[in-house]
Amino acid sequence: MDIFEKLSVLAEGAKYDVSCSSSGSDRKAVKGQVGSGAMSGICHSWSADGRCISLLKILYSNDCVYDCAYCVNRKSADVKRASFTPDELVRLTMGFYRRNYIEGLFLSSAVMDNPCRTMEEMISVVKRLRTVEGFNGYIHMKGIPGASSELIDEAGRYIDRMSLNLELPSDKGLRLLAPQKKQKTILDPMLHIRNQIAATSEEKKRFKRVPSYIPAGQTTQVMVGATKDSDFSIMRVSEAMYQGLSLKRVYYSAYVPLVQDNPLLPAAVKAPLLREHRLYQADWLLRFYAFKADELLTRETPYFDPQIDPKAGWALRNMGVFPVEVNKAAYEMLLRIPGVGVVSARRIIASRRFGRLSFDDLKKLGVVLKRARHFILCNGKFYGSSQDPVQIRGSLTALDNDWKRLDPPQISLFDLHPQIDAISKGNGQSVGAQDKNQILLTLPDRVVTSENALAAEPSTVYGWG
Amino acid sequence: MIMIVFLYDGSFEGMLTAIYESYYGPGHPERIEIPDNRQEALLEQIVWITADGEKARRVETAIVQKLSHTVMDAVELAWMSEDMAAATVVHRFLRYGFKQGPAVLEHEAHPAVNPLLKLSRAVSRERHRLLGLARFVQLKGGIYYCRLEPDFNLLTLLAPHFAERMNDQPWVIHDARRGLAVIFDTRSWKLAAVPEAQMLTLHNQEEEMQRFWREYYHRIAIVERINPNLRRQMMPKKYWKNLTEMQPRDIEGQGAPPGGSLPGHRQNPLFIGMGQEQSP
Repeated sequence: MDIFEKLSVLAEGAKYDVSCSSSGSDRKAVKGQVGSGAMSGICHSWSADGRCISLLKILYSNDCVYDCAYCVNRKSADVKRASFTPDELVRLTMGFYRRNYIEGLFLSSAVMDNPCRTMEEMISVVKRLRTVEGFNGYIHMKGIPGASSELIDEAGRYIDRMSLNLELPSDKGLRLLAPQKKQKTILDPMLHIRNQIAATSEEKKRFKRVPSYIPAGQTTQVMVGATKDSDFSIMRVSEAMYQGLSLKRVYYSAYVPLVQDNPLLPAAVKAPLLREHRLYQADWLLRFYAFKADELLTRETPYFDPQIDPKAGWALRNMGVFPVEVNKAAYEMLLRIPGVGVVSARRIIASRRFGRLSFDDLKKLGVVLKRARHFILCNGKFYGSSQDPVQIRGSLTALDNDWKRLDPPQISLFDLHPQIDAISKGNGQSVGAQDKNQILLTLPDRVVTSENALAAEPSTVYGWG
Repeated sequence: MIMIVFLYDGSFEGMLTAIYESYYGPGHPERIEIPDNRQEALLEQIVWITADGEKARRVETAIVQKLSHTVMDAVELAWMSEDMAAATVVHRFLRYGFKQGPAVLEHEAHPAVNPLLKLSRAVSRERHRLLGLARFVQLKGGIYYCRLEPDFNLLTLLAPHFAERMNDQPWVIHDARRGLAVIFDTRSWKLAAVPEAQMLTLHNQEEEMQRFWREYYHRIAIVERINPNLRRQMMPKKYWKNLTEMQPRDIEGQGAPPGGSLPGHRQNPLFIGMGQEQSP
């Protein structure tokens, strides 16, 4: 197989790992060597699905010994298998980098033989890039669950970011779909990385020259929609990981139903893009707006309202806190106003020092007044249409396009065929195409796990039975 | 009521000289403009400003000392926007700024500050975008050549980044719209006037790299999530002409990139492997 074909196969295999960032590294350029970091990250292109491309995101090999049910590269799948040589990968990376196509490399891999051997092969590539090619650009390397701490540490010296994908928020879900992975083999290395990063940080306070260790931190990825885990359980896991593992980011990847014939996985419904979108919005609230997961969702309401963003949802449930006087409120309170983001809140605080802000001033500062006006006072005056949460909700859902675009309202199948609804509430048997006039629909067997005890029934808006 | 209008040559020095003259000269100008494409008003008194290096320097020193380097940067960025009102906006801003002090930039809502911030941010945004969207091709002989058609005159904002990052390869970044280029010889970079480049020969490795990149770009999209509107929003079509990956694909290849390529544009001769027929 030539490089072109390998590139084709191995880029296809890597694309469901949605991490795209090249930020967080201030790696300095060195005269005579090529490459530098950019703290803010730089997007070099956008693919046809609208996602940012900033790195060469590729598998070292897609020849996997594991058989995870959801994965396009699983052992039992009938796909072309390929592996790069270190030479080929280095050539691609350097060639792309010098032409400013990328910020650097995102190297992942299928598990070849065992986790340790896979890590060693990947390390040989990044080591060559750094020590032989003198490459100072960004490198994000996947950690293979189950690899030893020594290998993680060796990789850590050469790379900017490492990630290990949690894939599923519950251990049970993971064991069901990826029996060769255990949550422990994923979380242990993540904890080790966190501790090492903290230790390096401490050493930097005391010594001048400390070798770098994963300076841009670690991230992870959770699939959405492959199991019945609720938004609430996903958010709680994210929150716990941000706190306990000092993660930079959690990525949410809408499960794309590539695998059709497995009863453990949802039947061919569309990828839950709207749900993924709400999770990202909630993730931002956790990281930048000082929200807690249990302010957004509860055990009784474990799914996000599809028609309204989580922040506005919270505001409508907590109208007692509003309206907020923008000329007096503290930063933390300004952040809670729908239509006021981190940047606008900062600008309000800064501008306020020079005098009272008028309603028109707020627009200049970047506040989205169509949303915010229902929740604020400006110099004591109210500019909204109503203070009734139901009415405000009505105007907000009329304004917003995201839910209409990502999950257009459609007639639920259960409205058309009430007998399917009755069966789905019963013992979950498969409904086959016995009668040609019926809709062909296979409902997944109801798998009883301990998660079912926690999660309420998902709403039919997502097409999940 | 007679309005005083300063006319200057459009240069940065000229603009600063105009600022100088507004304090020490014939009077406070209502507007500061470039003579081309102006709207002439009835009751105006025109004052011609000739760029004076010494006066410009004194204004710059005053800004840096009494305000800050950040303010000076914002003023430069605003000038780079080539907006017709840029000099007027800068003038009003500085009049207010010299009274307020270095914190003036934080007073965003103020009518003298807000327009300046809008201009400087627009230029800043374009600069950041171009850091990512600039594409180099390797020419025979080893020089890396990049062609851009930026909205603003910001080559000098791009040069330091690439001089630092690609410091071991000679490169040229060409503003084809303005006939300017920055040229880097692995030691330092210089700005020069360079008309449209003709007859560039590509390095023998270049075609292959372009094919690799185009293939990668094609493969990395998740087909179930194809979203041409989102892509166009994030990466406006005005940039596509100079992007390797947005060119139509090989004859022997695979058709248009998903979501379509730029319809009916003139073939960019830097990017090879393009078929004669349009992709469907």
